[in-house]
Parts: sequence; C-alpha cells; structure tokens
Amino acid sequence: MVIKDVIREMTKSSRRKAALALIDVILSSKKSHEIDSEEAKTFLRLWQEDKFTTINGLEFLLNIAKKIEPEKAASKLNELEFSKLAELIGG
Amino acid sequence: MVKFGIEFVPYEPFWKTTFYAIQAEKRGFENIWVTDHYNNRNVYVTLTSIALHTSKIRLGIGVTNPYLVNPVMTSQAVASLSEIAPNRVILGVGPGDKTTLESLGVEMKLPVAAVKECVLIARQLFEKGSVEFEGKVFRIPKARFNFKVAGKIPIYIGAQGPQMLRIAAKYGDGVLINASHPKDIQEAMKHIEKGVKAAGKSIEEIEIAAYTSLSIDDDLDRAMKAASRVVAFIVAGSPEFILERHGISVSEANEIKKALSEARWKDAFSMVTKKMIDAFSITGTPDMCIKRIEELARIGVTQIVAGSPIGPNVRKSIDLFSRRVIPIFK
Repeated sequence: MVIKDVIREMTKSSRRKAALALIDVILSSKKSHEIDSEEAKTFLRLWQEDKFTTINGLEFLLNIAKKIEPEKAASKLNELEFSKLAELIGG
Repeated sequence: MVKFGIEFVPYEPFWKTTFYAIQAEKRGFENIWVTDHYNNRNVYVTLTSIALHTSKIRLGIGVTNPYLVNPVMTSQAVASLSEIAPNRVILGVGPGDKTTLESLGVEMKLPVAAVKECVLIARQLFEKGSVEFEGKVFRIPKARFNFKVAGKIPIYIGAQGPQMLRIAAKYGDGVLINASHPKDIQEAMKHIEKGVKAAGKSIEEIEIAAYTSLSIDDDLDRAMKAASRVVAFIVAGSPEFILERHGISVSEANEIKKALSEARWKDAFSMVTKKMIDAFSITGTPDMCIKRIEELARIGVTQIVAGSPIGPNVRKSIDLFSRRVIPIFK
C-alpha cells in the first residue's frame, strides 16, 4: 500500500492528529539542517494554506519526518495507533 | 484592551521561526518581534520571510541598536521591509547589550543620545525620505533615499533605566520595557509619565509594551522548568538594584552567573528559584498568566510581548496562550 492510499482512508480528525504529531517531531528535530530550502518553502506554504491535512500535505510531512527523524516519527505514530503510517516510514 | 505580541529569537532555521510566526498570526497575536543579535540569523531576512508568509500581523525589529549599523542603513532596511508589508513594520531601537558590543570591539558611547538620535534620523527618513543631521553621536551631512517609503513606520524604544525610559516616552511611538513583574513596570511608569509630560503628549498616545519572558503550560512544573532556562540568564545579567527590588541576593545571582560562564547549564538552571521565576517571567498555567497580565494591564501596560521560552513546546504553548489567555483581554 502506498502512503497516499493509507492517508485517503483516514478521517480528517485522524489526519489532523497525525499531522500535529509529525509537525512536532519535525520542529523539535536537531537534524533540521537536513531539510533543504525548497522543502522548507513547501512546508511553509502548506502551513500557510492550512493544507497539512490534505493527502499531499500529510504525505509531505511523512516524507520529511522519514528523512530526518524516521525512528522518532514511527514511534510517535505507533503510540497514536497509526501503525500503517508508521510502517510506511520504516517503523 | 491589551494587545499581544510574540518574540522570536532567530537562532533556528528561517522556516521554523516563520512557521511559529504564521501560527501566531492565525491564532490572534497582533505583533511579532524578532531580536537582532549578530550571532543569530539576520533580523531583516527573518522578517522578510515572515512578511511574505503573513498578511496582517505587525512586524517589529525587537530591537536593534545604533552602534553596529549606521541609522541610515537601519532605516533603509526597515523601509525596504515596509515595501513588502506596508503599515505593518515597527522599528524597535535600544542601546544594545554592552557585553556583546564589547566583544565586537564597539564602545557603547552616550547610549541615551545615540538611541535618541537614531530615532530622529530614522523618523526623518521615513517621513521625508531624506535627512540632514548633526548630533552628539551622529553626523549625517545629507542622505536621501531614491525610493518612496511605503506605509507608516512607528518607532518604539527599548528601555530599562530612568533616562532611557524618559527618552523613549518623549520620542518614541512606543516603549518596550524589558520586564515581567508589576514592581518593575510600576517603577518604569514613573519615568514614562515624566517623558510624555515633557513631550506634551498624553500617556494614551504611546504603546507601553512589557517585553516579558513567558512560559505557559497546563502543567506548572513543565512551565517552570522551561522558564528556568531563560530566567537563569536574566538573573545573571540583572543589575544589583533590580535583584534587590525582588529580594534576590547578589551572591545567588553570582553563583548562577559563574555556572553559566563555565557552561555548567544544569547547575545554573537548577539554582533558579521560584522567586526568580516570579520576578523575571510570566510563568504558569493559563489562569496564572491571566492574573499576572491583568496586574500589568492595571498599571498601564498596553501590549504584552510573550518572549522566550513561551513554553516547553512552543507550538503547543502558542495554541494554549491563544485559546485561553488572549480572549480574556478582548
């Protein structure tokens, strides 16, 4: 199953919960320098337009979290019982 | 009605500061203040990113000093930012930090005159686009912008001592007081009142902002733990008369100062007491923060600037503050 399919099956409130958890993982990461300028700009645009809970928005957050904090992100998602998402980013 | 501002220290990548700024706008803060220190990201670049990602929140330089950059160049940067966000930019000027200036080989010469002159130079440039100035610190034979300044740019002055507070009230559109405790604000108000009187203004004509250290969380211990990391530095840098005002001994402060200078962070933070947190920050649960802000507003504060650390988790604390505290004052 690809990330988009898993997200598509989620309710809006579940997406919101997962998005907030991933945002916190990303914001608190000490590896934030690994996020390049284009990714940073996309991150800000999605936030500005309130699109983190869209399919593309949540997929973006998952990919960024997978890039800089795969273990922490997977552990947080498992804790919130989003096991399919956790699995997709390697948890 | 109290206005709410939020301070960001741009020590993290631009996108993190901009993220929190967007959040602050979405959640009802009216002002953003970005600090200006040579060892962090540049204040104008940070505010440009924020300006491009927000549409109504006001953008403050919080605060720059007249020593490292000539006031004409500071005015140019501020006016350029105002072109991106007209009527949203505020220039904040203060004397700067003596230790930082010394470490760069710059003398803090005639601070009150330097700040006052910087304000007068900037105001002329903002209003007329040109300036001719002869002061005690600055001499500008003739400077002129080749562009029209967009929007109105108020100038606030960061002040702590009596003379600077009077100058701030007299020449500024607002005063930024580095204090969180009613005792300190009450003391500052005496000098501000003298300043507005000297200028023939009424106190209502200027913004009186308490530039605080704030830490909010539903869990008091977590809020206090976050606050202690900032309060340690405030205690270490406070003059004796301020410590005495709050019943904090100089020896306690010196111990913290010593630990910080030796990078014994845990030791330094563990020496921060409840009394110190109470004196130098607004810390606690939403109800505790509301109580303190009510006290400050009664004394005359018109804007609360929520400064570092904001809370143990900045994103959650911004949300909590916006949900539970801001609506009480609207």
